[in-house]
Amino acid sequence: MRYASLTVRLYRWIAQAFPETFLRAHGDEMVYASEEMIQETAAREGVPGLFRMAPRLLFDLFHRIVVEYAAEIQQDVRYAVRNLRHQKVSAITAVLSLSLGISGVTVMYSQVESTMLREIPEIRNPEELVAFQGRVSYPDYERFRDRSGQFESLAAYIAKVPLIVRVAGNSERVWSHIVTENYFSTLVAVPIRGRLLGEEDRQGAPPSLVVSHKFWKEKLGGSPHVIGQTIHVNGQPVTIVGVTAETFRGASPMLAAADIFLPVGISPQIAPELRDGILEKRLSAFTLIGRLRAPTIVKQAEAVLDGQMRTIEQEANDPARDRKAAA
Amino acid sequence: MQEVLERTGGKVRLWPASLYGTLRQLLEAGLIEEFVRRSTADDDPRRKYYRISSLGRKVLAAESARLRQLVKFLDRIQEV
Repeated sequence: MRYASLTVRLYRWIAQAFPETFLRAHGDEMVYASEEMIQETAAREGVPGLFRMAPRLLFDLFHRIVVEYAAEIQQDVRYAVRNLRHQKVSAITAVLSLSLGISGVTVMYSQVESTMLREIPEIRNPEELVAFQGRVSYPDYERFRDRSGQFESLAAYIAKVPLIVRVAGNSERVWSHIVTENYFSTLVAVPIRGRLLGEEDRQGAPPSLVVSHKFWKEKLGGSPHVIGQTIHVNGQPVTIVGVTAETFRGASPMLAAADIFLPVGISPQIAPELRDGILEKRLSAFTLIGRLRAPTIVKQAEAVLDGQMRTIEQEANDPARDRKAAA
Repeated sequence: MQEVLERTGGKVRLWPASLYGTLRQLLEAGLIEEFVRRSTADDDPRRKYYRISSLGRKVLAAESARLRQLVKFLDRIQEV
């Protein structure tokens, strides 16, 4: 029926306005539920029924979009306040730097002293690491990686990704990062068992993952035979190839601690976030983290990256002017 | 959503956005959990399944007890 299909399309279009985290977790199923509702109403009550239902359905959608953004802001504020309380000096420096930076140019990098990165345990020389604020697409990441001479290594990851993991008959939701093959080598993290993800986990390789020490202890009973063990992720078998060091929870342990690390080359059946050709399209889903060549000064890196971001935008004809990065 | 409407005699109607917003809150609070159910032929791959967690059961029991107390209290007031 034409009106039903129009209502579904309108609903899908407006639903895109939800915060990204909500869309990732519930977007598909919410749209699916609304489609079912629209089609059932159209079949049962015809066009008059649709006209009666559509305003309420759309009001529900708009209302919830506002509520979800409010919830996100509330969470961010709570997190910021907690941080301010714990790291007063660093946080004040960060806030001042950001305030000055935001009023400056469109794409720039403020000297926040990487307060969060300094907190990543179990990695070598965290002061050499810089995190980008905001997300970029995978093709943009590849351009940065190939052109950014000031980085010894530049990695990307999607965080935080919910997975349904089944271990010993129990299923539960676990937070994960989907990472490029150089994620662990960029962080210079070391495993306590097995190996971390790398070149051998490119697309087409047998599905494998790395678990955190916490997950290993709590969910796998700290089994010494964990390497080579299979667990089910979103219903698909995946082999555990390594366990991270004790306190390692990923590149953003405060904002997006992870217990499972999947390679970006893994099948979209296992990680639905990789569906729809996300590695080819300009969908801003990836967070970047880079390790500067030792003598590089952060300010120099900022200037180079600023230029590169502009070039990439011009090439892609996509002036994502509000995208910022922080080093 | 249809089942809820039928079970409540048309009194409670769930709307998709509110329903999934509420599910997000319940998941974050640990009151429900997602689980994998063997899919049937007519299952849409977008469909997910949730069930109440053990914490959720405890909270539900406590909340039910609280509401029963409240109703008792209101009944007593009306009798006076």
